[in-house]
Formats: sequence, structure tokens, C-alpha cells
Amino acid sequence: MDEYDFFDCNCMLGSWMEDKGSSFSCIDELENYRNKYLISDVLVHHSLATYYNPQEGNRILAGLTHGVQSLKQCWVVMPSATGEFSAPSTVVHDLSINRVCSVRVFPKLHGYCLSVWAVDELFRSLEKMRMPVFLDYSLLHWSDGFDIDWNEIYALCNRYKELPVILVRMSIACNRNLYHLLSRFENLYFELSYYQVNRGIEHIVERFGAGHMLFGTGAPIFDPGCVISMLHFSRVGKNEKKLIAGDNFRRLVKEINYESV
Amino acid sequence: MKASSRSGGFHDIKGFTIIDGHCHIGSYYRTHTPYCDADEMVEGMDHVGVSKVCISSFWGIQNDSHSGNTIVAEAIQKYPDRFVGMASINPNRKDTIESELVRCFEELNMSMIKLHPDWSKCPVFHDNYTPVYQYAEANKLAILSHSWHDGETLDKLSNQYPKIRFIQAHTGGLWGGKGKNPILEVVKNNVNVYTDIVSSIAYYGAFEKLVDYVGPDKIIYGSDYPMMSLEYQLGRVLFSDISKAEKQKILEANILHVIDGEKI
Repeated sequence: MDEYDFFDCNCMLGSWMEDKGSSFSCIDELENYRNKYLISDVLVHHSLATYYNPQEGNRILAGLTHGVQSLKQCWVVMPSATGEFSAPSTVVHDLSINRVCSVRVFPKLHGYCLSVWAVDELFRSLEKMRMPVFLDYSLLHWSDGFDIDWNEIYALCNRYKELPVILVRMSIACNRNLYHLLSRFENLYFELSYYQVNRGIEHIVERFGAGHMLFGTGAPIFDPGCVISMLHFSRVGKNEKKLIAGDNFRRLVKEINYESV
Repeated sequence: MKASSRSGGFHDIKGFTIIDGHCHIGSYYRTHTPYCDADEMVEGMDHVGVSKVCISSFWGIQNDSHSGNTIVAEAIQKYPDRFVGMASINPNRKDTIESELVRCFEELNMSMIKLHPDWSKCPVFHDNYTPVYQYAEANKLAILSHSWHDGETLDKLSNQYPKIRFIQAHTGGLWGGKGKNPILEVVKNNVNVYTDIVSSIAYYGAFEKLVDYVGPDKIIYGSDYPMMSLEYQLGRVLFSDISKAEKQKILEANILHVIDGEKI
């Protein structure tokens, strides 16, 4: 399966509070995972940035991944109204000098909303860089998908048209809303680790092309074999598989404008 | 033997015969369920390389057992080598249970029973299930249930009806790999109890631990196809660090043993 040139865009480094017996507590463990599943590149965020303090976690991630070619950084960010997180101008400066490849927001876990009045300054700054933004609604079971605020996603995609917006852990519960948005927004993407719709990849490619889907595993929380199998058996062309497996996300990374800061 | 000492790693699907022990037919109202009729399902099975799937009808387990079982029977009639029928019954209509079981097994060529106590809002220890268990015991049938309520209930029923093969859906797939689970304790200890791995959530490394926990003879591959894809759970098995012989048990041999092999 190495012909796909996988770029896993959904992976976490560091231990986590609900560890079911697996976590990548060091780079070597992550590298073992990468080698086992023949993953070329991995986008990682740090568990401390998610479950402790974003700035502290991002700082540690930068140190751990420094000089490791296969690992790309994904920083966790949040709005700065309280002063606990840097102002947007500082955030984008730090993203630029650290050559960070995406950011991830956890509105549900971190307790804020993604309405324009709350995130406008931050998202405007990220849009200027064309920095990919992962929206993580902390979904575990597919039925959690019924709680997603689709109006919020619509508003973000509509307002920040140059900003790549990536939905994490889309599931069998999402198509009835997701299809509407995919038909309207070129800047909307979704990550595949939990997308178990029967022949779903094929259905999306038929309707919207292969450009909106990004391969991700959810490792080390979730089993990477599942999504690899989904993509491998999907009835789409080799070129489409290669785009989904990694080239779509590589393109988004290439399009980041670090010099805009 | 612990997973770490096995000769595992990725095995290509071509080396296996695969029977999916937990599938459906028809659409599921809560989600988009494309390609869910008999013809489309067989086409999907051919593409992936799955020989047979055990099916119950969503119509049958959500609405009306009789009509749902007819849909399953039509699929079996059209594709006798590809579908294994699971009869659904409505525990809230006790007066219909016996006649529906007779119809399913003596006229419609079904092979197993499917219960969904959560949807029927009737737990498996309710008296209304007694004719189901008596019929299954007399005919040595397997029963797949979405839930057996708890470990104590499953233990009691599996001892009371030793000729029934009890399959606990989902629990094996959902288990996170840590700590004792009351249902899986019964799977491990009772000779006529099994679990399938149908679960939308698949925790990293948990599958190998499940094999260590309950043993490779007690686990049945299943996908919930066509509500979910055939290949999602398949990837979990094919990539796991267990031996090829153990994978073959999980992908085919165990479900053949659980059903009466001659019937399919």
C-alpha cells in the first residue's frame, strides 16, 4: 500500500487522559506506527495542547518535531479575548517562523463558540496565510454528529473563502448536511478516519470530485487499519486515491503563505 | 499466546475466505445508507472479496418483523450462496413469535435469529422471549443480539439454554483494550457465547488485546454493512498483529461453527 504516499493529517503526540493502552509518548513510538502502516508523512498536534494548555503543548511539539522530516506540526489555537492565548498577530507570526502546517481548534472541548463575533480576528489572520484549520468538535460516536452546529460551519466557509476549513471525524451521521456544504464551498475539506459510509468515498468522488477528502487516522486513539482499508477498497481511480491519501493535504501545505505575516 | 509473540502484521485479503456475521439489508433512517438493496450489496461484496453476509432487515428490527423477514427471504432466494438469513421477531407481540419463527426456519430458509432489545424496548430477560429461546434451543440455533443486557443475564441464559450459540454484538469491537468487561468475561468463560467486532469506534491496539482476552475462537468479524462499510472493520483484522490462522478463524471459521454449517 506504499504506492499511496500517505500523509496522515490526524495524529496526536503525547499521552492523553483517556489512554486505552496506547499513546505516542515519544517520537520513536510514533515512528514505529508510521513504519508499520507505511505512512510517509504525519501531521501531529500535541496532547498537552489539547488537554492542558495550547501554548505549552505547541512549544513542546515544536521542540520534539524539530529536525524530523516526516513530522509536520499542527498547533492548537483559540481566541485571545481572555489574554490566556496570544493575540492573532502574534499567533500567525509564531506559526510562520515555526513553519507550522496547520492549526486545530477544539470549540467544544475548550468551551467557546466559532461565531464570527468570537473568532473573526483570529480567522481573518489565518485566512491571510491560507493556514488550514481543523475543526475538531470532539466527536466520539457517530451519533455525536447530530450535535454539530452546521450553521456555524456554513458561516465560516462563507465568510473566510480563502481559508481551508477541515472537518475532523466526519461519520455516517453527517452526509445529509455535509453534502449541502460540499456543493457550495471549495474551501471545505473533511478528514476520513471515521467516515464509514458504505462506498462513501466513491459517492463523494462521483458528486464532488476527490479534492475535498483528506486521509487521517486518529492514531494513537483509533485504529489506522480501518481507514487504510476503506481507501484501499474504494472504487475510485488510482489518481483519486493518491490525492486523498496525501496529495490533497500536501497541496494545502504548499499553498500556505508564510510571507504574508 | 500474547499478541506480541505472534507472527502477525498485514495479511492481504486474497489469502482469506470471509463471512461477515453481522449485516443488514435496506436503509437506516438516521443515516444516509447508499447501495443497500440485495443486488447492490452483492456487488459490493464481490468488489471487496466477501463471500457471504449474515443479514437481518432494518424494516424487520425497527418496524415490522414479518415484512422485514420477507425481504430477507427474497434476498436469500435470489442469492442463496451469498446471504445468510437472520430472523427478527417482535418481543412486544408475543402471540406472533412462534408462528414467525416457524415461518422463518421451516419456510424461508433462515439460519439464525436477530434480536434488538434496545429498539424494541424489551430487555432479553423479559418473559416474552421464552418462546424464542425454547425454539432456538430445540433447533440448536444461534442468536445474535444487539445487547444481552449485562454479564449476569448473559451468563444465566447461556447456562439455561446450552444448545443456543449466543452472540453479543458490538462489545468486542467497542472494548478499549483495558480492564475487565462483564460481558467479555462471559464470552471468555462460557463455551456457547461469542462476540462480534462490529463497532463504529475502533480503538488503537485493542483488537489484539481482545484476541488475548477472549481467545481467537470467540470473535466473529462483522461490519453492520450496508449501514457502514464492509471494509472498515476488515482493515482492523487484516492489519492486526495476530497470526494468519487466527485471522481465518475470526473472518470465517468461527461464524461457520456458530451457525450450523450445513445450513449455509
